[in-house]
Amino acid sequence: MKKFISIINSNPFIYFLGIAFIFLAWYIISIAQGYGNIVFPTPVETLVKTGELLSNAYIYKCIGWTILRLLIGYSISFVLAMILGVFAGYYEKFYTFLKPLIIILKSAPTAAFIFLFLILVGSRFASIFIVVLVTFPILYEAAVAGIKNIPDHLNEALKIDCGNFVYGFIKVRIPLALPYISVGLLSSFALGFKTSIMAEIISGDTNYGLGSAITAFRNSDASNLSPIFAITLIAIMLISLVDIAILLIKRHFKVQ
Amino acid sequence: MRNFKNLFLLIGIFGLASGVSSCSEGSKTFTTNEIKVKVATPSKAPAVALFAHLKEGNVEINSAANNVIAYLTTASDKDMVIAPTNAGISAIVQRNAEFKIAATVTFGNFYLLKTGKDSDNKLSEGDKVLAFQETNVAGRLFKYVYGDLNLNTTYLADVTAVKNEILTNTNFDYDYVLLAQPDVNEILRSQTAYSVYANVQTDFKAKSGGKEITQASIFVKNTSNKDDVVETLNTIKNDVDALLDNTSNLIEATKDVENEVFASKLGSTKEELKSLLDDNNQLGIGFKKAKDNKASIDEFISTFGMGKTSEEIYFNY
Repeated sequence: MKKFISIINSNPFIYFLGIAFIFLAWYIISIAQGYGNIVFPTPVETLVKTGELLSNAYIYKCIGWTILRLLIGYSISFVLAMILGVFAGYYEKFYTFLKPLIIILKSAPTAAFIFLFLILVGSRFASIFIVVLVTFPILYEAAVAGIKNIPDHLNEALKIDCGNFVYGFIKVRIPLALPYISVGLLSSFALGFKTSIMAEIISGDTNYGLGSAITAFRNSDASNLSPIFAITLIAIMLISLVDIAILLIKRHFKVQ
Repeated sequence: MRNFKNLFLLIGIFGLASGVSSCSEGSKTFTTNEIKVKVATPSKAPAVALFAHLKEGNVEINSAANNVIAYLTTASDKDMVIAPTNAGISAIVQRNAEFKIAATVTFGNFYLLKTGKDSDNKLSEGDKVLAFQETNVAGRLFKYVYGDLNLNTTYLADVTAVKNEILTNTNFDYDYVLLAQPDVNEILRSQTAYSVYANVQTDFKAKSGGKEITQASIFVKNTSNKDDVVETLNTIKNDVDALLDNTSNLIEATKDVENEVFASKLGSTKEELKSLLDDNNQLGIGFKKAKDNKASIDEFISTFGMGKTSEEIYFNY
């Protein structure tokens, strides 16, 4: 009995219950609205469609292209954020100087920029720049927080004991900031992934990509939403893998 | 003996000739030239003109028509844009877009379906009609053709909304619905009481004195290399002619394109699109020089309250 209670009190079991609840609610809503694939496919229909899609080479090309564009955008964003974030973390005046720009980037509607990038780089590459736009402020602030949260006594000690600024920066400050940067990196990855798919849809790209796949299935049969639900499920599964990675990294660095 | 020899010779020559002839028939494959200029088009029917170029880097097929229309009025690198004729001419006339109209490539794919609920089976005053795009091509054409019948018309945002209303509304009480291909076929397959009541293209012709629906046209940038542009227009014309001549060319030209990518760009599967073209070209695909079709273009844009076009906006080639 004690063992049973400890199982149902365990986090993995409660996590599993949470997933079961989502599927149950999904099933009830789907059955209640009564139009099946036209409006709200059931979990079973979605899972069957997901299996079909995953046995089709097309969907892997779509995943690959979405991830490739995400990685390109993300790399640009990361390099920019690290350079500017580290400086802003170290020099308060530079941080203040960049603040208005970061506020604009954080609050401006992403969709509005898609049309700008559409004209500048075309529909195939617009999503790369949207990823930069969305992930840069998060990565930048993670870098700033990492540098700013280095304890004062360590900064003082570095000033006294470490004559070489660059050496102290690379060997001490960057490693101390790394937990913040890592978490920012992985948290914004999921956001970048979602945004990339959205940007593919809005930019109207009809080549490979998960967003383009949603458009393709909608064009084939707009009254059957099961492929769109299935693509969403695939995206969730991919993001879940990233979430697991975040969890492991948080544990590794003991970050709350 | 000599006669036998001659007979064998004749048979041999005949056999060889038939073999050569059948060989040349068998190897008659679809060929086209790569497009050199940068072209953008909305997906679905207008993009069918580019069916042989779906994988080429210079060709952008965009699922959002507004994105493509924006290329007309912004500093984009597109040399050629396929856009709704009314939107393209409006961009040239009202917003000084640096483009000229060169050719029309789609001539309408609208159909009026009867639902089986109209007791007299005749479109007449008071009949309930479900249509779409009140202020855009479909709605404007519908008003032009059937506007004087005093119908009780409800407009939804787009053709998908009409389709979903048919499929999900249990109290659906419309007598007629306006739809576009390929959705017409999809509805006819699932709703057995429905049938095609009218071909809007035919009714437009009757009402306008023989003019056509010039739905989507090719617009070319004034500053682009004229030789390249003309070469591309000729390539597209030859492709479209070859397609209408033998719809198997659609399958032949797109054998390397996956069905999903094909659907994303052209709006339906290869087989469905081929069957629509085989069935009296229900997508309204074609190629006509705009300059030679000015009267139809003027009539079509008049449904949007626009005046007659000037000769200056037509591309000479």
